[in-house]
Amino acid sequence: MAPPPLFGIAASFDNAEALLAATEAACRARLGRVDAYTPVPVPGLTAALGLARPPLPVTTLIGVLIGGFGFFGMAAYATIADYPLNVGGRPLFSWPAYVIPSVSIGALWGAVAMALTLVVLNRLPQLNHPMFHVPGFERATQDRFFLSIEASGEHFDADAARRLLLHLPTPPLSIDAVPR
Amino acid sequence: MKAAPLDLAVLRARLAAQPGRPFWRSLEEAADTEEFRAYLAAEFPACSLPAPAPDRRRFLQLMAASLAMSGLAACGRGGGNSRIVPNVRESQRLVPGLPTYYASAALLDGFANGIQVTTFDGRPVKVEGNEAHPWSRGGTDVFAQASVLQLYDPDRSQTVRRLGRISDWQTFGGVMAGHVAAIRAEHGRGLRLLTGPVTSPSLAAQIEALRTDFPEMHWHVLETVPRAAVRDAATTAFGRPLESIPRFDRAEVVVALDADFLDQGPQQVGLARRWSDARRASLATGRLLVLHAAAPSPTLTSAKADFPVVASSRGMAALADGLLADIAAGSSAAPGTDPASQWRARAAAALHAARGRGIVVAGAAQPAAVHLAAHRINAALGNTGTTVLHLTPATAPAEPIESLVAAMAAGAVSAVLMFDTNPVYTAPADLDFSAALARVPLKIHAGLHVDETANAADWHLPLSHPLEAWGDARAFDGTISMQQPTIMPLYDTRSAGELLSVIFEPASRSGLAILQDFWRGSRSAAAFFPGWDQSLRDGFIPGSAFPAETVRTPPAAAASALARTTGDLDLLIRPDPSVWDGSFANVGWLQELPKPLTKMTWDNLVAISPRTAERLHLDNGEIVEIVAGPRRTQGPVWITPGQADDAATITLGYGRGSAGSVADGVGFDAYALRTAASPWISSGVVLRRHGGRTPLATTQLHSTMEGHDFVRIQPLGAPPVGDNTAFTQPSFYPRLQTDGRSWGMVIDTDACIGCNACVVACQSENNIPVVGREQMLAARGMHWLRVDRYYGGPLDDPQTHFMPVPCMMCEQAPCEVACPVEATVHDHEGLNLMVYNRCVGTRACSGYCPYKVRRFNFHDYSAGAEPSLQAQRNPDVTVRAGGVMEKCTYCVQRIAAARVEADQAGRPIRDGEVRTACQQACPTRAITFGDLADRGSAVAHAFADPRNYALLGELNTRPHTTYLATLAPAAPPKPEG
Amino acid sequence: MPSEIVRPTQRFVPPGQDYDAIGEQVAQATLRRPTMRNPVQRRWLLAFVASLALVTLLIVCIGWLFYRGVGIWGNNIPVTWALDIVAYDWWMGIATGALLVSAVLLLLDQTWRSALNRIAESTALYAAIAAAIYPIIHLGRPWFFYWNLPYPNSLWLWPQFRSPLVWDAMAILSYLAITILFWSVAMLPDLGALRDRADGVWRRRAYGVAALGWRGSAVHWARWQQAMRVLALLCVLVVVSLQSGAAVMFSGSLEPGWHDTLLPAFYLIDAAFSGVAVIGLGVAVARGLLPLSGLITDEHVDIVGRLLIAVGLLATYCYAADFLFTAYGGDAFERATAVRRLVGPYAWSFWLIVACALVPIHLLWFRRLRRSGVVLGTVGLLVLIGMWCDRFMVIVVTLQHDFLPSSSRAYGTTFWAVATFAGSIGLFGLMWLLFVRYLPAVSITELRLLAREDAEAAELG
Repeated sequence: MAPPPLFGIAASFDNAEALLAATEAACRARLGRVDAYTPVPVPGLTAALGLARPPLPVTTLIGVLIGGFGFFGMAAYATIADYPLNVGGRPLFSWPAYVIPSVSIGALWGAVAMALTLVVLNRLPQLNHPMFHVPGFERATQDRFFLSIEASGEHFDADAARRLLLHLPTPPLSIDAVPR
Repeated sequence: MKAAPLDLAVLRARLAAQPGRPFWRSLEEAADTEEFRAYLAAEFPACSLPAPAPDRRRFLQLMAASLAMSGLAACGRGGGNSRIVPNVRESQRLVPGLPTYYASAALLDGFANGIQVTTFDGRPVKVEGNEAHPWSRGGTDVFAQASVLQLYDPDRSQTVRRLGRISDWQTFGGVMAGHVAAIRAEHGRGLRLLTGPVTSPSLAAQIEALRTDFPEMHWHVLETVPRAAVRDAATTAFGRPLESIPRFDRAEVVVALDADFLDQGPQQVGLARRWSDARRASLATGRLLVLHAAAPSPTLTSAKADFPVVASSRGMAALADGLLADIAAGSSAAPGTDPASQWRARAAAALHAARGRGIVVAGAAQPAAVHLAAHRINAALGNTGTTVLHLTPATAPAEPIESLVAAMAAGAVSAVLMFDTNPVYTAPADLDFSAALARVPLKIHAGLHVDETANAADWHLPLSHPLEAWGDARAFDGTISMQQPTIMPLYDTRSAGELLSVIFEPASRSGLAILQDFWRGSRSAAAFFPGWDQSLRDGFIPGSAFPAETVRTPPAAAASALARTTGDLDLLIRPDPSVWDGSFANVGWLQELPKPLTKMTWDNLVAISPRTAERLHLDNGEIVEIVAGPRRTQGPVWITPGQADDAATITLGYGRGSAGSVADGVGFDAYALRTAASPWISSGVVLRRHGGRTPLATTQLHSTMEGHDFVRIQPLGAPPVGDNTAFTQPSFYPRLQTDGRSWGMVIDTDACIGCNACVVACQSENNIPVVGREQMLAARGMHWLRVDRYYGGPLDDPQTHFMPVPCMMCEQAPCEVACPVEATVHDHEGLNLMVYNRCVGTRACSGYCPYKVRRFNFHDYSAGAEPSLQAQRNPDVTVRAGGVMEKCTYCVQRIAAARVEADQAGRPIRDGEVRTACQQACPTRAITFGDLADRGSAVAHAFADPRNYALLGELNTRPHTTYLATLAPAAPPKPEG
Repeated sequence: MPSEIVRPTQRFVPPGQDYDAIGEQVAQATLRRPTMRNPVQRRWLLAFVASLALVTLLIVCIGWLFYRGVGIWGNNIPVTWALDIVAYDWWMGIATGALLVSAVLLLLDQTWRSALNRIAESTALYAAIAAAIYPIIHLGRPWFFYWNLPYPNSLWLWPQFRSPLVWDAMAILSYLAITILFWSVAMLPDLGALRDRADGVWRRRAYGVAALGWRGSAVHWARWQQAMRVLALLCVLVVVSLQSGAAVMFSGSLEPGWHDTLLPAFYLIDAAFSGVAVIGLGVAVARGLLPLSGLITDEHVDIVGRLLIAVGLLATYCYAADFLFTAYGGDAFERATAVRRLVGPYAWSFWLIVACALVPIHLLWFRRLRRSGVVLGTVGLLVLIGMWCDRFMVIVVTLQHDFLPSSSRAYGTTFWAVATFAGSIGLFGLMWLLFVRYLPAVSITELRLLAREDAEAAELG
């Protein structure tokens, strides 16, 4: 019978430096999408993976602007056009009064936008992921550093991946084939 | 009692048989029948037993309420054979929901003030002054304003009682027939009438008529606020008892010897108006009607004086005689250094300078000696007959109570009929009235309440309230005022006249019949009714005031013998400015009304001077025992600036035992210390610390202006202290345009005498709830309008200022900015509106209000009011819910009504067409209200007055309520503190 | 940018704390079942029961309040705002302060904060929740609270956007949302760690769901780190706007003692003051309640102590400036109010500020005292009391006697007002205790980062 379809090849290391080296090697080999799983963010890892700077600040800013100006506009519309009232002899367009709440609401929209972006980009929540099948993967949140070369793209070759990992300067503690 | 079961079918049939519309009138008739009473007795035995008061009272309340609430339209009673002008039967003018007004008279100690009663759908809800009335001229006092609540008082007596058990008029009539026959056989020997002061011509005539039937009957009058000294002095001076009426309009100087012409009392409304009018007029002529006042205990009169002095209470007579001596000598002796003699010198000089244009007037509380001196001074200066007029007293002459008590004690009295008086409570303590009364075989009492006397009497008869009875009464100057019912009697009651008729006349007459028979005399209907209708419409008989009597020059006697005094402290006993002699004690509005000078609610006090307090080491609220000879009582001390060091003052009307749920147990009984010989003062009293103190619910803790000029003083001839910067200060905001109108109010602090009429009027007009003692202590009073009282000058000789504070209707209102839900906003006519049903109760507006005129309904104060009290509520004003902020609205409901009327007529609202409740009630017309945008309006003129200034104007709130500075003579008064 | 106030050789993590050990300790703190045998846990249980009792009291109070109306409190005319708004402002001061400190330190790369930030952020959240009950229950008609929300509600009426009370409503809404996000996003990786350590399938499932399937992917880490910084920035923003709004709620009026352009700045500083103080208290309590002394070290205590001195001095300056400006400013009413604060019937509130907040911080100049958790906790508690008195002074002294002497009345509180406040403390305590029991009280991730940094620093030094 045919072997089960692969998600990719996973390897584990016991320190960040080894992982970093492995990651660079794996990326150079262009066998497939490479990702690393670490208990703490490892400096240089994003560079090694060649990841672009995430777009969170942009989406947040957009949220802030929409929320802030939206609220300001709403307040102005309510007091000038929709239901004008003489309140304390103030002008109908009492713009200074609208600023503070607009800032608050702007911050609110920014935060929500940010959260949405984060969740969407990370594809979370995702309670089940192939990597969870890797033996000992629970230590990825403790003191182990995992690397995965995913079976994506036509260049992927499981054996090549194994070879690559085996011949690293500091070989991994374990190499596993990860079923999809 | 008869327990014949009521055949409801029969009752229903009877009701059905009634002609046409008036179903409820019919039920009332049904309720009057024997069966109905028997039915009550059978179905509700509780009400026939002497059950604990609450049960019985609550039941009767429900009965009464069910009748009262069911729109007893102002149709006549007894088959509609009586008419109330102008509302004749199916009047087109009686539009449901629109008010109908009746001219009538409010009574205080039997004296009348002209009033106009506003009724909605047959329910009187508001008392206004009668503008046309020649005595009161549209002003009212607190008692007239509060009388409408007294009408609906659920504790009012509602049925005839025999020895405390429910009875009825039929039984009473039956029993009386025998007695009357026996008395008649004896020509009335042993029959005594005891009443309050009577000014009613028709009632007096009825009593006179009785004298012919019962020649040996005696009629006694119990004056709780005696005017005997006035009459005695006049008798000595002029040979007959006369009242003195000052003509301020002809005067330049007024010297008041503990005078009370501005104080609560039958004279207040008329004289205060004349005083303030004269003061205004004198200002127009460039001088000022100056008031010098000496008083041992602060009064409104001394508070308004330009030159007040605190006079020793026992020194008053000496002061008066000294003044007389100065006048006689033509020049004042070298003045001493003490304030009193300096004051005397100043007053004497002023009187000299204004011969024939001066007034010396003494108060009812002063002994005859002082009045006599006043008469002599006025005569010496040629004031008598020009600035001081003398009139016949309006009260019908009768015997005093002393002789009655003597007779009763001697067992010479077989029957006593007491109405409109409560002697067991109000008779001087040393007479021991109740002991004497116990010896009378037949004791009949008629009154508004089942009071102390009712409990001591064999028969108690419920008396009709003046607002639900026919009658007539004289005002202080004798003007005959007609009193017509504004509602059918809520309960099965009789007026005093009807009562006499029931008892003594073979066929009892209705109040209307009695009144008409008296006034008609022998005239024909054609000759009588036109004038009759007119007088009912007007509420008075024109030209019926007494003419001024020409009097002889009082015989120059030796200096009057000074009252011998012992000890170092006198006790002054005065009527209470809020509950008077106790007859208004069960009216919540008055109990909760801050007294003009002490700002105290729900208590009477032992007022002592700061020095006395130091001497006796007493502090506010400490309970002292007052020992006056054999009599003693306890009360809380209140340190009162302006009080003489040798006098403590207490007020009447408290410590009621059986007045009703509101009054019982409030304060202490001052009558317990009263003696018949000297009802106003007893000397040689001792104050002893009794231990303990009571929390006192005063509404104003701080009395100085803390160096600010909240009340400004405008000395004559000095540069104006007013500033019209209220609307001219720089501001970030452009002034929003109103579309035409801009309501505003100007309050003349010089005219305000602090009498509180405006406060009660506001409470009555705007359905303001009474919150009770505890809540007042917690500083949660609901009065929309308050009268601030400030003291200036030295503590022992202060200047007093009054300042009514309604909502300022600020154009740049801080409260509006504070509100997060637009519950308080500005309208296009310059009003600061309060939208009750939008309010969520953040209370931010009150915190932001610099004037603190907003009131918050902390607990749902209006909820659970007795049904009969609900009947008083003004249907044009929302009854506010709990948790909602409320405040003065400039009586916006009246503005709205006027707007509707004007728009229907297609004309602008005329100036003076809208009058706020406070403005209308004010006896001195201190309040001007109207459209500031209308340059011709009275309020615009007042606003342009150089005395005009805004309270806290520097805050740039642009208030629409502004004030006119208090006037002072050219000689600057004492420095403000 | 590296830390300024931290000496490079200073070790915030004792030697021998590797990633696993850190995770182990935090996990131990949370995953163990409370028993009366262990003294630490007995303390926790007792505190928990006490808080629960207070929360019950709060529920009773609110029930009675809704039935009888706000009259059950001592509030009156003129003192329309009293303990209700005092408590609200106080709680919000604590909340915003704690959040502000944590966020600013994060933005400044003060990695040593890692042991404290979770405590700070949780405190910020729970204090805000405790505060958030007041704006609703203090209303005369609480069931209409939604009329404050920004949409045309009843009769198409909007809220009145010029009202500082509306600003406050907006601010606290935003604040709650942002704090919850900041707090939960920061906790994601730690929840993952707990999931992988939890014994028992249910706990594992619970933490697993809460962790949203976090697997420490490098891509996620990158976005997570960015998200934390962005959120911190938003936190600072909302805190500033909230405290300005709260301050303008007073300075927007004309009332003497309130009408003051500097009030927003003062409020922000007072907030930071109570924030640092509550962090200090929280640190002390956490060290007492949890076996974390290995992670929250004396170094942390020391740093918080220094912060407390710094902010305290700022606050002291504010009070001095306030009185100085008033004294030199011409307004008689302002001066009268200032005098009343010093010698009036409620002068105790001012002198308690001095005695509790402004003076005790100077104990922390001494290194030995500064490094003692107990001392820090005590001083923190005192400062919080002082800050409460500050709110009381600002609100009550002004209201009970503003312009017209005639309307000046005394204020006396009632059992219900005090009980409600006690209840809100119970609510806060309850949430806090549950948090330290079932959630990572210390950020595992950041502590690990710190450990690495320390290791590197050690090599350098």
